[in-house]
Amino acid sequence: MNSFFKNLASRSMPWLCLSGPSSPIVLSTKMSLARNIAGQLYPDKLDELAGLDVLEDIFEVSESLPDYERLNSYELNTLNEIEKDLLLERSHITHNSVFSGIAGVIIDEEEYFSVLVNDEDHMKIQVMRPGLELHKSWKYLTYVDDIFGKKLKYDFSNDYGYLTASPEHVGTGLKCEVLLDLTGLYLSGQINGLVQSARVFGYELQASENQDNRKPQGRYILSTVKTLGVKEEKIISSFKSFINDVIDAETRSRVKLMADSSHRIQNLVSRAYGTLKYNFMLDEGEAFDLLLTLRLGLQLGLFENLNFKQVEDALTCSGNAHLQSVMQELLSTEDLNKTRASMVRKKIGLAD
Amino acid sequence: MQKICDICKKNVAAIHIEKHAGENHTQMKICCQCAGIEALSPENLKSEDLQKIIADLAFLQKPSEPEVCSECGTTTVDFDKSKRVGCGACYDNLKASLNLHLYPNVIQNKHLGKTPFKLGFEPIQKEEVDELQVLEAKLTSLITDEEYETAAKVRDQIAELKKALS
Ligand SMILES: [Zn+2]
Ligand SMILES: [Zn+2]
Repeated sequence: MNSFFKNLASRSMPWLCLSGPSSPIVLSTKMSLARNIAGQLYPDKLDELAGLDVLEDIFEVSESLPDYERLNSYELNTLNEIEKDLLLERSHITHNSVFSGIAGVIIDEEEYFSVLVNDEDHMKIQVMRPGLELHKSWKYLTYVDDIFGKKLKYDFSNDYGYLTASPEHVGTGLKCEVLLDLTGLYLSGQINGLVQSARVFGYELQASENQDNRKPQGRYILSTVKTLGVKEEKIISSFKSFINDVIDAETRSRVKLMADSSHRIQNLVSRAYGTLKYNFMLDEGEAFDLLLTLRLGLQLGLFENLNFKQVEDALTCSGNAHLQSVMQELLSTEDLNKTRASMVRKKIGLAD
Repeated sequence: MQKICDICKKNVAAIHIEKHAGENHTQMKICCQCAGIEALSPENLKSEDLQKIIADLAFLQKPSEPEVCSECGTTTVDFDKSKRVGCGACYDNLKASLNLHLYPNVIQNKHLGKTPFKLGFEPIQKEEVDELQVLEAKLTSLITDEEYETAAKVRDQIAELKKALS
């Protein structure tokens, strides 16, 4: 395993740990553009030969990106299982791409920028930032898009804009999303109302699905839906004003929550802390739940000797693929759960 | 014998609709629930209810002819299954199967965003249009053209937009 992967396994995504504008309610911003190359079939229909040609072309053009030295490019079928799982756990690639045979990924050293190649579309160009940074993200994204667009002829129609494999992205090909900590609204039972009103405004609010079948706790992803018949700048500015309304609502509900039930919450958080401190084995879901509860305590100012980065590191690095990358081997479930317990303690400063 | 609703196949049908378009006759029996109205009797049937029912009758439209993309071979059946096209040409070759206007991301069938760099496309200098105005004009023309399937969708979009704006 090369140093890039070793590095990944030891930390969470930097853009998830740093504080940015409007954090800690807005944890991070992600923005992506779907693009296809004219005259080529889309990845689902591409055979291996043509697929690898497309991949090579895109990798070649990426050499003219700024900071090319800081970019790592991989054909996914040249990576081993642990490496692929690691990228999957960090959401840099999708399940679909793991099995495709023609997919690739370009990621910068700090994971602020990536291009997923031959997944659903030929390219998904993506930017990640800490906190709420829509305009900055768009500026960078469209700049990179133009660099690719100067050398590759994009599939574009005057009526439908940028053409994509799924009609859900046709037009601008732009998707904006923010990861939100809505613990206050969640605990006070107001989330479903927010999901509804997001839909009315043309947005989607979903529990962040790191763990299947787990309680969502307070982490949600809010994303844009509209792509055809609206300008990028309009999408972004409307989205921003909706997010600001959500932030206001969350802030109000936290104040109320702490006023009404601070003891109940303190009890919840202290129990999570105790469990994390005194246990021998932790499964993935339990670790996730406990750490999010700890994060809630942090949000509400209940800890002085703990910071967000520690909790985020523990959340990311306690995933199975991360543990196996660190241990450099495949582990049994029991060993995974033991390793996870001590890894989490180490990350949150409770080393055995 | 009581007639069962053609949509839910469960409730008793309350409305019977026939459509005659040239050679084609289509008929349909539906219950109040599927028609989206609380209860229905000739006395309390308002003209707006009737309009709503008509706009909802998307299913009265004959399914379009199966299409196939000459560039990549994707067919209507393929698309219905995967919800993905095989190439850019599909957007024209499978136009009827795609039903673009039904997608929640589609506000109008005209791209307004950025255009590719230096590729000879005329940049689109369209005025920022009032979404609501566009949709309302669309609805009127769709009803005139008897495009009820599309009309129903547009009507819902208008309702949502109005709710959002209020
Ligand atoms: Zn029915
Ligand atoms: Zn095609």
